[in-house]
Amino acid sequence: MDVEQDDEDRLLVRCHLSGDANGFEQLYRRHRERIFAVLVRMLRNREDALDATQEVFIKIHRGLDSFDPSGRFLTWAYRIATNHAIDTIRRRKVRKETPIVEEAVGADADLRTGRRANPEAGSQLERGEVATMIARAVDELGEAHRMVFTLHCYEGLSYGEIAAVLGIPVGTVMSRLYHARRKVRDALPPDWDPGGPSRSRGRSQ
Amino acid sequence: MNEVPDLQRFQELVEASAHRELTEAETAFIGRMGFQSQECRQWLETDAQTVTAALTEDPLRNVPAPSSLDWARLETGLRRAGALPDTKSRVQKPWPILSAAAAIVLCIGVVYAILRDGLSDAPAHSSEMVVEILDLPENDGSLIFDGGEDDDGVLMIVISNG
Repeated sequence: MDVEQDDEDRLLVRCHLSGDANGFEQLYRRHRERIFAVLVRMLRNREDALDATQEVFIKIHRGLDSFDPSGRFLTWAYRIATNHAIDTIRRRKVRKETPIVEEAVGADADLRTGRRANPEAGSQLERGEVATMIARAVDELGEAHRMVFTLHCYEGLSYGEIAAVLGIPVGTVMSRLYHARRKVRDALPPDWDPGGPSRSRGRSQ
Repeated sequence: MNEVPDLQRFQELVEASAHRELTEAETAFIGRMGFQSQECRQWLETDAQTVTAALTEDPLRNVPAPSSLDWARLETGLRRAGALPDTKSRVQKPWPILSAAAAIVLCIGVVYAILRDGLSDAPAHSSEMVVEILDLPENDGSLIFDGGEDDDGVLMIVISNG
């Protein structure tokens, strides 16, 4: 995460609070794709994520005067997005909806390209089978585990950053992430071959 | 010397966190050891490599960016909520102002003409009041009322649908 970008964010927040409508518009344009990305991975549903992005930015707009400028804007925005995602997942449980991502996975398609993902990895199973297993395992994570898992494994946030976003101790982040990873690992066949050396993406500090 | 018991306690506490709520001290211990102890860290990230590799299969790993249509739909909601400035009203603003200005000029003109030409004495010369319907093209809809032919001035009100 970029210190210069953080300072620019703070400046834009100040602009907004001093009455310049462009302040918020620029904040929105800088971060909308990132917020959408985190929401689509938490909610596992593109349409829900689009609606949620709109609602999250309305919440950000309404709450900007409560933003503490000593903190990072993005961390604060992630917190609003995460809380919104948790609410949406809870509402969805009440409605007993099935995440649409399973349909996409079942169709064996990369959502962007329409092609199968990464044709080189995983030698023993069909790509579609592994994709289905992974998607189902992530879908089945409890909301607390899914939030930590998403922020670390997809967004690349460190333990400390996740703790700041979720407002929980680092030790809790570590234990939740451990259990989430194990659940996803257990959903894979024991003989599944990741097909190569370390491809670790998430940071650990 | 101290590392092995710490690792064991660390493992026990992380495993226990699945079944019970840990105390603040226990959570703090996990956080501290997770950063300080290489062994604890390694154990904590046992599945990290496999899971990270498996996630490359997840269709949501590479999230397709919303289309411009998606953003436009989303921004409509933001404008309605007042979060983004309303570009439409910004563009349309000059027109109501222009028509209001034109209406004011017209009203002033009419009032000025009434004051100057004394429309109030019209009933005294009611016989002179002429309403002329000009021979205008069909469906033109224009109508002219003529206040008279004297040189005191003429007030013409033209109602037109043109």
